Amino acid sequence: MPGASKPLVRAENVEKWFGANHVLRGVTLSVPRGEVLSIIGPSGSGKSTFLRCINQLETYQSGRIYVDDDLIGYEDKGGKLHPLKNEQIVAQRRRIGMVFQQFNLFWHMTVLENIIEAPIMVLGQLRQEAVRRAMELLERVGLAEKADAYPQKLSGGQQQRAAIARALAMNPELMLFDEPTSALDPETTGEVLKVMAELARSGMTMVIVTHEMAFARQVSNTVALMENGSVTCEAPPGAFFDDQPHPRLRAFLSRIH
Amino acid sequence: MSFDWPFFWGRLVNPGDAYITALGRTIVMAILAMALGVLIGVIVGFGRLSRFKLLSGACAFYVWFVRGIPVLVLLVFFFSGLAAAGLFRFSDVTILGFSISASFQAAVVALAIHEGAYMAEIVRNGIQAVARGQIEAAKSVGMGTWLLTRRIVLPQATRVIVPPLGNDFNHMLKTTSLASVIGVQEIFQLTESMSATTFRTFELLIAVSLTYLTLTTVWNVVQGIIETKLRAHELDASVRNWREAVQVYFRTGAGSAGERRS
Repeated sequence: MPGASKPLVRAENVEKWFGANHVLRGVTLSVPRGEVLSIIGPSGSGKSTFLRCINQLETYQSGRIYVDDDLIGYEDKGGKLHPLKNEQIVAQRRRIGMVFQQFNLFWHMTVLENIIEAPIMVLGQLRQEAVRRAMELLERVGLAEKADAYPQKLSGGQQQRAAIARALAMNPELMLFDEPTSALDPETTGEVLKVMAELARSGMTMVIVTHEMAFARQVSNTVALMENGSVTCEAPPGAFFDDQPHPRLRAFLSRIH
Repeated sequence: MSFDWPFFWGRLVNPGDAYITALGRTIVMAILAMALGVLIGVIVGFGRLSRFKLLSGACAFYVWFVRGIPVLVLLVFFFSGLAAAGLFRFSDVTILGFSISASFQAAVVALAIHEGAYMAEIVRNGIQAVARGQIEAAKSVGMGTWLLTRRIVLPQATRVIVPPLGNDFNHMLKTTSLASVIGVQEIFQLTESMSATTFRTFELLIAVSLTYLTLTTVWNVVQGIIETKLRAHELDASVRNWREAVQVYFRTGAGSAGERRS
């Protein structure tokens, strides 16, 4: 089989408990390199938790998540999972970018400083090189003129575009989006979705947790419905939304429309 | 009642070398004790948040214990108490040509230990004020614990820590007067000994009060400039460096420099 078809992300039977609460009940999903997976579903279904397990902002307790050949968060010793050291988890995160619902730009830094921080401090890039790359990214997300502004002076949509640029500055192989437009009003939602659609076209591998059905349908290669900690339905968007929708999906869509 | 104006003006206009030296001692004592106190506060403040129960417990004990003891008692304890018990005796030392008296050293240590307990609570509060999302964002761009502490947590916590820290330093400038009890020749001690020989007690106390008031006023301005610089992210005026911070502070005042945004 050609290497290109090998999935970049492979999740197998991922389980997680918060105390007695069984939030992920055997999630199995995969994302081929260069493709976009959207995860939809009701709140509390575990979709954000699953996303956060991929870069170890949450730990899972059993199953496996691979990004490329890295087993995320653990070492597999004869079928038993042994947690990695913190430094190893930190290293695994470097190839995975993440965009948050609340943007989470570093508020004590300007937009430019937000973007060059990790390339300089983590990757050891020269400042000049990091700034040049940051300006390219700001151009790409349409924020070049806001480079010296502090996040508080920007609209939500501008902050989210800056946050996307910050994640891209690390040259990630995979981008995770955790409800990136849920905190935005309808006008600014569009500008963020446009940037994300452009990113998908450029070949970035993306996992998106979203409530934007139209967007999911337009950019995704695969859409997965998560309910109550498991994936109840997974299909290309065409099959997902148009032909004979799965009864679970029909029930979910009818609840949100 | 007679107020000796010529004597009073003389004190203000020409306080004399002894008073200037004493003033220097007051200021240096306050700065050293505060710097050490902040250092203790940062260590103990982080310690209290440690996962290791023994460490967080020890730090909590320190805060509880020291905050329950008057500064005056601490001062006498470090200078006389330890020596009386034969545990430790501060002795005069000379560093780079400056002789530093035993009582001055004991005062700095006692004031720092006292301040450290209060700073620990201020630092802990500052660290806890850093939003979880900021730390998650730092992790997501590949920062390790030390890097995100240094580059994200500490700078953000500093914004929360500086106002109460400034308040504590205002306190510290005046609390140094207690060191007179163990014989540190700072401005209050000098005032007391002068009043014993001149009997101009009233005039001397007003002069020394004005000295403290001047110190706290200067500090107020310095603190205002620091806070203006630290609030650059929420001010409408551009504050990119200390020079601009000074200009913005004097133009608008620390409290009103732009609307505070949520």
